[in-house]
Amino acid sequence: MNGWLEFGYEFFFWFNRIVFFYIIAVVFVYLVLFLTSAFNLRKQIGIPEMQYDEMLTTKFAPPLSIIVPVYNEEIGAVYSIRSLLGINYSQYEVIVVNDGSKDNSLETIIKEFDMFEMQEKIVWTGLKKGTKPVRKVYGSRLHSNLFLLDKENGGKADALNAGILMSKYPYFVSIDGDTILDTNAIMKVMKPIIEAKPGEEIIASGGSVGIANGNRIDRGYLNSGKVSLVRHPLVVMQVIEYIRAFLMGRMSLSRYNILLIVSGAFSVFRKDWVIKAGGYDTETVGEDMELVVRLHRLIRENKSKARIAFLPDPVCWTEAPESLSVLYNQRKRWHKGLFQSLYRHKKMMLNPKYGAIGMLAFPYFFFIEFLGPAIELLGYFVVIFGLWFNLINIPYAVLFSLVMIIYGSFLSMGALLLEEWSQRKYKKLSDFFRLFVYALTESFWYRPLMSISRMHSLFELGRRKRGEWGRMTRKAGVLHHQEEVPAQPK
Amino acid sequence: MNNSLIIVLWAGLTLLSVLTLIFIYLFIKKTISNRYEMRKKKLLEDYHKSDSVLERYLRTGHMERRMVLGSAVEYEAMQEYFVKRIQVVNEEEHQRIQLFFQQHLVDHYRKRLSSRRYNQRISSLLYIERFNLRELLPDLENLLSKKIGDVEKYAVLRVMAGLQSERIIEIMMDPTQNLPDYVCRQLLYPLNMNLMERFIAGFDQCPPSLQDNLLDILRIRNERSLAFLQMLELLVNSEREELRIRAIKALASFGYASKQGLQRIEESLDHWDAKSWQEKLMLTKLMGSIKSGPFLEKLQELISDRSFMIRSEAAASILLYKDGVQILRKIEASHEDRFAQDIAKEMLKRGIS
Repeated sequence: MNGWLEFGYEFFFWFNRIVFFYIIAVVFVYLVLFLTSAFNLRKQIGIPEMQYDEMLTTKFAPPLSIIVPVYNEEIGAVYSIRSLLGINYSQYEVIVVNDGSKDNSLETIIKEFDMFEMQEKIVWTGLKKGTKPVRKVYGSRLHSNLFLLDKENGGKADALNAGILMSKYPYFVSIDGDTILDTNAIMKVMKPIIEAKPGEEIIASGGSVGIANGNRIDRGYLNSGKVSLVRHPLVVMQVIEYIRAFLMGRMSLSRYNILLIVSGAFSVFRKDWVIKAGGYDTETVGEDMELVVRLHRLIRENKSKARIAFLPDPVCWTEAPESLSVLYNQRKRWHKGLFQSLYRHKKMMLNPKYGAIGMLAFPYFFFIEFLGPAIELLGYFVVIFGLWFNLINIPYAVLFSLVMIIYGSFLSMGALLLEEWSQRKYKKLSDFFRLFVYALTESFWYRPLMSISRMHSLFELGRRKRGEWGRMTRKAGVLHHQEEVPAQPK
Repeated sequence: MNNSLIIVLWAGLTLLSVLTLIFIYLFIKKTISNRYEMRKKKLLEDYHKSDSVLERYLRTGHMERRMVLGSAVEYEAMQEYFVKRIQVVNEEEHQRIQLFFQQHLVDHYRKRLSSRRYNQRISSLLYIERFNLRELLPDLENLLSKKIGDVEKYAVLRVMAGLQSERIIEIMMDPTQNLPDYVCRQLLYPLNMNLMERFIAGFDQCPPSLQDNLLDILRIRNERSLAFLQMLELLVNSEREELRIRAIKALASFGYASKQGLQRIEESLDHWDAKSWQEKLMLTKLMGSIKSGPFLEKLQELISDRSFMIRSEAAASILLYKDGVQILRKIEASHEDRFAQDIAKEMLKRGIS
């Protein structure tokens, strides 16, 4: 018994030390991220949207393949396809990949767009690993740039790979069926690519994701002029989280070309690079992050100067879960994906050969993003232990935690500041107050909750399901309820 | 311990005050900007009325005092109104809008162009382009000589091109500029034919990327000048493959070649096997848009080419000839190569439906 207690004291002592320095490090890292983003965004305040006009009107943007993987989404898919067919872009094709849906997705799409079976269409562009067999390829009589690929079920990554293989253009973008695009989304993400200097290569480009809950959607697009904040506490917290993650985290990481996550919801990739990298990995949960890590690895291993770009503008909108259990599972999945990506490429960790990716991004994602929740939860236990055995200097501890809470709020507030400088989506004062108040309460309920879900995912890592379609169960038609679209004339 | 307590306390207090400051800043900023937006919205609504000051000015050309002695928000609202309005005006109204900007906003934009703040410079560029304020060309060149980032440089160049500045020729011909293709095309696209002809005249001195893009832009704009045609016919035999391909593509869309030009292309078919598939593909397309006996013969040979794309393009080109349908029918029925039969069949199906 005594031995255990002694061990406990010893552990307590050392844990405290480690955690203390850990916290100082984290505080420092976040501060740097915040300042970098702030500096970058400050330059861009108040530039009118017009800058995209000039591009929309020209015909020189490179052609683009849009890949839409579909799995059991008969209603949603038709809406997304229809809105994609109406985008303002000079030359593009839409490739819908039906990943062996068990519902009527296939039949609905075929009927809706008057599709016919095509003979010679697949151009195999040489991905080393194949995909699940493709049953049939369809073209549309209504839209010459719409194709449908029907294949056996193999998971989202597999569906995307099949789409990539069939695509004919040099760039592709993948879009989830449940994502709503900003009107200028495509031009926004293509801009860094087409404005790259000769000799400079941008091989992937993505933008921020916003939360669509509580907004009006007109003809498949979100009207970004009228964004308003919903009242649901979970959603408000997620709004803050997204702003923080995109504007602070990714913006500054991209500044140094060490961005490891390009939003999977909507990013453009260079096809040849993705194929060279081996396409999407079918064994990972977070196939989008894994791909980006692999691309970075390829860049360094080929000593290339290629870059992955990120822009702070919101380019697409997604529906945030409003139920706790869905959110919980989503975070579990994300954390698992993070782990898998880091683990698969562990060779890059602290490896100077991989430059800033290995020396900065990997440690950041591993120690801060990945280990954070574990340390946090361990911290709660230690506090309980310390209180129990009277080891804690209470005024000090109280003060310290207060300071940390203030720091957390400071970061959230900082994110709101960045939001004001860049996107200015939430204009109403009442929305601002609500965001502020919720940001203050984060440390008491939302943060621990997220940490628990992430810890939970660690325990589940052993039992790995392959190629799953991690999707949230949604209320039918939440995103498409307003429009009463008349049936298309045949 | 006491010492660290004090440190933590100070850290906490500092953070708290920064937090409060940010809060107050955001609160004030949001209040002010919301009020500003409201005022602007109100003004814009007023301008939209058919008897508003601005609409009256567009009709009569009489500038009222209210338009001239505006406050900042009024100017901004007018600017915003005219940006949209200028897209749906007649010639006279267009001139009036421009006159208004020339008389009253040139100085405003000039000041903004030399502002230290990036966003002020960039946003004024957009308006200078839209309202065609040539008076500001010297200021633009001045800005260009300063140390600015690439994004801004391209924006300035774009505006200069839109304003038909002659300086743009010099800048684009300078190989050290290393302009991205996309920017290069954006700069070429709005240039008038006078400036374009100067590029054509100095074609050999242009950097390769400019040469390529120039051909593409002239093709996209569907320019049909003799100088251009003559240049294209010469370039079909260029040493540089990229240039050959683009010249062939441009000729294909031109749809015409002189006698000598035709002869030159026919001769180049002799080296068919040495060509890349891209060049072959373009030539196959060209042989459909410019028609000749030797071309048709070559196309019938190509319909059994190993590559699907060439076969398919050859079939499409044959279909453009007067008796193309009959030729394809014959191929479908009796060609010795099964692939040739298939492609003829598919093309007939597609072409007829």
